[in-house]
This record gives sequence, C-alpha cells and structure tokens, in this order.
Amino acid sequence: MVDSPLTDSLAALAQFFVGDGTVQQTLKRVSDLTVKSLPQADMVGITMIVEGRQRTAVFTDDTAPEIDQAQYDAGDGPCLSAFHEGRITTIEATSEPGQWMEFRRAAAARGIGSTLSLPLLVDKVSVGAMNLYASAERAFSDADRRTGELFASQAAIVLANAQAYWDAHELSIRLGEAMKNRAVIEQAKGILIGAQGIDEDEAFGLPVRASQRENTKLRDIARRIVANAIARHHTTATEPDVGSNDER
Amino acid sequence: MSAESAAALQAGLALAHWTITDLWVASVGMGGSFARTDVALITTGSRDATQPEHDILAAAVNDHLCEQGLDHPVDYWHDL
Repeated sequence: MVDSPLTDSLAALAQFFVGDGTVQQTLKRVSDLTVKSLPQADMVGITMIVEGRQRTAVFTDDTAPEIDQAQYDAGDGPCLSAFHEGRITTIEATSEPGQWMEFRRAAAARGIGSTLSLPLLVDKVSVGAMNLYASAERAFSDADRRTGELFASQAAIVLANAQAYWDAHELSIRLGEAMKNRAVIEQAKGILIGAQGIDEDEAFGLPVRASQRENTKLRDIARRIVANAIARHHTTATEPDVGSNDER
Repeated sequence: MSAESAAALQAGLALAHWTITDLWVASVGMGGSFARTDVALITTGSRDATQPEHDILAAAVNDHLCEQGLDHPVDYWHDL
C-alpha cells in the first residue's frame, strides 16, 4: 500500500490499545487522526451514543460543540441522521437552503461552509457519528467521502472497543458498590427471617414498608436492622427492630 | 398487573434518568438476581413481574430517588 495520510492514520489506529486511555482520550486521538487523513476538514467532532444517550463527545476545536449543539437542540441534523440512519450525510454549502436549516444557520454563523457526517458502524449497528467541518463550501469530494467512510469504519471498531472496555470497567466498579448494599439487605432479611419466622419475600417487604413510612432509603433501614440486632445480641434481646411501629 | 408494574417502573426510570443497565445494577444491590434482559422485559411489560421482582426494582429506583429528595414515587406492588 502506498503511504498516504489515510494509510498513516489507519496504521496508527491499528496500534491502539483501548486500555491505554479513557474513551475521551481515545476519541481525541481518533479525531486528530481524522483531520490528518482528511486535511480538508478544519475541525472534527465525534459523538458516541450508548443506549440512546449521547455518552462521550470530543472536538478538535471549541467551535465544533457549539455547532453540534444546534442539532441536539433541534433533535435533528446531519450527524444525528448519520447515526440514526447509518449513512453518510453531507451539506455542500451551509449558505444554501436545504435540509436541517437550523443547523446550517448555526454552522454558517461560525464560519463553516460545508460538512461531512459519517456514521460509526460496528456490525451494521451505529455506535456514534463523526462530523467533519470545513470552512470552504463543497470542501469534500466523492473521493473524500470514500476516504472518510473507510477511516470511520476502522475508527468505529476502535471506539466501540474502547467504549466496551471502559463500560465493563465502570460496570465492575458499580457492581462492586451494589454488592456492598446487597450484603446489608441480605443480612437484614436473614435477621427478620430468623427472628419472626417469615419467608424471604416478607422479610424484604417489612423494611420496604418501613422505608416508605419513614421516607428513608431501604438500605438505611437494613443497616439499622443489622445494627439493632447486634446491639440486642449484646443485651440478649431477640426481636429485631425494623421501625417505630409494628410492621406486620 | 404487568401493565401497571411496567408503567410504574418506566415512570421511575424516566424520573431518575436511568437506563436499563442503571436499574439492573441497582437491583443487584437490592438483592435481585435478574439478568439484565429480564429487567428490560419487565420494564417494557413484555414479561410479567412477580410481586417480589416488582418490589425489588421499585425499591432500587426509590432508594436512588430518595437521595434526590423524592418520597418513594414508584409504587410498590400493594399500591399498584
């Protein structure tokens, strides 16, 4: 393969290890490589969308998020269309009338003449979109669109892997925290089962009702049940206290 | 009861600005043993929740919303 900005950028993409940086840092590296592979673009914005939410966004210029915000405010625009429809969208000249007028006006007001929006597809599923902005009108040729499509297809895999890696990392931390709460709730249920001879579902229902009545978090009620049980153990009492009133 | 259960949980998700994954993780903390897909099916009404299942999911959202100053806006089974 002949060396070119595209091949250099693709080679750099292939060297990525997604655990080396956060999703934000990976997005930044990819956006910098995008500008290298398509120098007609004056700035780039990349947005990752997970479970319908804009998750992470990065821009090579402070102006880009302001332009992008116009389409998020309107709920429609070339980048969102690229994401939702999984197809390349372009605006040849923002000064001309056409689709996404609100976005065109916002872009033109910030010196953007044309845009190229590329879906980030992994196994035909959109994981985000890449917006390339140029100050010149009609800055992106058909060849540029093909280059952009090729680069975006490789970048999408890197970004999806980065997102998946860090999502899994974050999920493991959140599940670890959840397990700490779970332990105290299970302990409280066990205390109630042992003390009152009720089944597991009833043992969950008692502190639920106490939390409703006292407008207190269930896990705080559970902590209280455990603390009271320990205290009662030291004073040889047997009945756990789940609230100020009789729960049954 | 599945429609009422799903509607209550969906409203709670919207109030909390939570995804299905957020609810699934929180339900683990409440003692739930759901697969993530079960949470998705229950909250969309595609699968009937049992009373204990609904109450665990409701408690998961309510505990979070309690931190935001809301008083248990997601109905438990006996209030549906």
